[in-house]
Amino acid sequence: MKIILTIAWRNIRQHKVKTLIIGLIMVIGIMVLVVGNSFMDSAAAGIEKSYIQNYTGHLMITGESKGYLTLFGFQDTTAMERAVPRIPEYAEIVEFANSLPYVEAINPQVSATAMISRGDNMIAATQLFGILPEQYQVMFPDNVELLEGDFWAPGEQGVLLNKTVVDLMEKQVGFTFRPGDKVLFTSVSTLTGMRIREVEITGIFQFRQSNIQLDMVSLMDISNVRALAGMVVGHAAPADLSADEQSLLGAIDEDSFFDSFDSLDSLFAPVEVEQDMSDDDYWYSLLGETESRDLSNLEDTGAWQYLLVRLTDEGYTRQAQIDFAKFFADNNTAAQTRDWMQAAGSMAQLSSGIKSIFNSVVFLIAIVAVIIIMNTLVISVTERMGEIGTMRAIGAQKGFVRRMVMWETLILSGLAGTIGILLGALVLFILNRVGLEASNMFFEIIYGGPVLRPELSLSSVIMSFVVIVVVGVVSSIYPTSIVMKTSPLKAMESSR
Amino acid sequence: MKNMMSVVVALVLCVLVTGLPAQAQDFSHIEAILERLDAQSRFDNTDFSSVLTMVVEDVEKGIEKMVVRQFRRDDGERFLLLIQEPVTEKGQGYLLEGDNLWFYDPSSRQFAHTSLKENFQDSDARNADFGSNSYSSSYEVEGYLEGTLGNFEVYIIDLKAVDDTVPFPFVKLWVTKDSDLVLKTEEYSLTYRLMRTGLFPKYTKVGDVVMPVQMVFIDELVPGNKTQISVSEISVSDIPDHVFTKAYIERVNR
Repeated sequence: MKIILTIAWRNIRQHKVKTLIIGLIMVIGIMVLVVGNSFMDSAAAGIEKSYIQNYTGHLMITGESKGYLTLFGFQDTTAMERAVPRIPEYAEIVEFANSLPYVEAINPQVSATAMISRGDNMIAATQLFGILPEQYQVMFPDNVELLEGDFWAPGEQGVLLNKTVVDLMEKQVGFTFRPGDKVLFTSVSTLTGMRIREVEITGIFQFRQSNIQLDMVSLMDISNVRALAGMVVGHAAPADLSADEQSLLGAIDEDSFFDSFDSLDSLFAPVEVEQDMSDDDYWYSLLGETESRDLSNLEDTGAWQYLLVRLTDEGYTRQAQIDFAKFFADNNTAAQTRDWMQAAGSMAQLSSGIKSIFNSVVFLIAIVAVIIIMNTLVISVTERMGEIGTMRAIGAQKGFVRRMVMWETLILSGLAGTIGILLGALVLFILNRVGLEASNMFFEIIYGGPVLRPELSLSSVIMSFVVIVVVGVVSSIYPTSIVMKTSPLKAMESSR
Repeated sequence: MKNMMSVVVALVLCVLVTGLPAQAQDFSHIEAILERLDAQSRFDNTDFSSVLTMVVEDVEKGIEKMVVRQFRRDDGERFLLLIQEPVTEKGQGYLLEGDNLWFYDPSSRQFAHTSLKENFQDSDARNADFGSNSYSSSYEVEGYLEGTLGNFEVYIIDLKAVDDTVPFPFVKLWVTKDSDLVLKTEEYSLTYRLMRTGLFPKYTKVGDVVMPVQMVFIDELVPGNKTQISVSEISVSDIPDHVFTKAYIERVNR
């Protein structure tokens, strides 16, 4: 072994040009890997930390439902078609959550999307989080920066508008909005149709850690958001349909729909035209009694869509998921937990997707590096054909030569890898000090915020080292096999 | 001579490149049909009121029934849609005053602007479906075919919107020859994706007006979503002016 290492080290020193070329490729490759992976790891960790600490907690409890349910509502093709389910047995779930030693804080929320209007003009749209301010601020103590005004007082109503939304509104109407102003919020709920609420602006804020999705979020008192989300006590009665109406239920074959009509007359239905209805009583009693309507539209005061859970340590996440799942199963409760990534929605998913694309690019770079290194090694080994032939002729076994070439590559990889990592660390140190500012929304999504300060991550060092060693070993297989196929006599002759 | 030849070749090339003058298709008889469709949908000399029963099929929510009072004054571009059922939406109203469409929410006693292009509540009908037709003024004819639909000979007319005031930029109409009844519509997005199909199997005649009394709107984006509308309790009696006001909607909700 010592002999192999000695010969390998001698070869590396003797073939300086080859060593320099392959070494340089490896140094650059590993530096790119270290910087790139650390960069993406920092971004991913930043996004995760930011969301968990400021918006989602470690877990999100919702009513049981299929589809891509996030803190912003459903973010799939059914988004406009269905309402976010209410959490069943909410009080029992809260009691259970509070009994778990690793649960640090919980926060209930309701979500709705609304158009904002003033006078005749629709001036902006906003995503509303219906919250209890006291509980929200305990759960997320550092995420709200009040620019004007304050949260609404306990038991009162109001909205804390996001600065970005206010800017959009002011641009539309050329009017400066201040706490105390009232605006109309209009939403469409699949449960109760359109709903309008006039709400007083109690404050203007911005999230300390934000992105383009969160910039559209405003915070509102829970009563108004429940109304806008259609969370009322009443339900529509089962539809009582006539035979005619029932005949048109289900799938319709549009092409043959008119086959059963044989003449124009069959298209016409006799209709009785009603008589005069000029009586005032008629006009003002059209709706009949409205008391049942008002009762049906009473706020469902115990209803919540989300319960966000913050744990004392992230390591308890899996345990918490298991414990909640068992509680739901034991109590036959149609609820489920979702992790922070699902709760965070499309922006966090997008960052994760971009990281996958980056990893694919790294993989492609590795393949290109393998080809270049392999090519250089083939030339280098071919040049040494005579030397290797002589070694074989004086008794060196195939395995000995194979190990020698492999160790050459491994030593080179180790040296180049170390230099590459050190250089990568230096680049990251500088980037961390300088801070990378997101020049546009795209980079803001990737960075998980307006500025990214990347840090050297251990996983990226290990991964990069493994990649470069594997690249080195794989690259040495092909040139070694060429040498092995050549007889010692022929190899010696080729060196003359 | 050589120069002369060059000029001739250049002229021939010019004609080939720019193309022969396109043969202008004559759509005048189709445009006349559109005008008749618009005219026969308008209650110009009378007011109009009816009860609309809407059955909304939704793959997620199941079947829901809505009952809506409809009041129209086409001479003045006004309508009022007052929801009577379901109970949670009772009293909600849509008031059209010229170009302005207002929505009223009795639970907050507030009005907000909305658009004719929007869906009516959670149904597959659009707010624009409840007024008179405007095919001749809102669309231009892009082409047509002659064909059959069931046992009826029809014109299949392709229309393109002339502005963005209508819910869909492209519409295909199946109109019976001679009798001018729209039996089927297909409505498309800007990218020519089929968004909605309308079927009109029942008509009635009220004075000079020919109107569908049964309509089916099929959501082509979400298979299984569909809304059927039937029209009953039709009246052409005068409607008091105050009915087409915000004050009326507020008062009827008290």
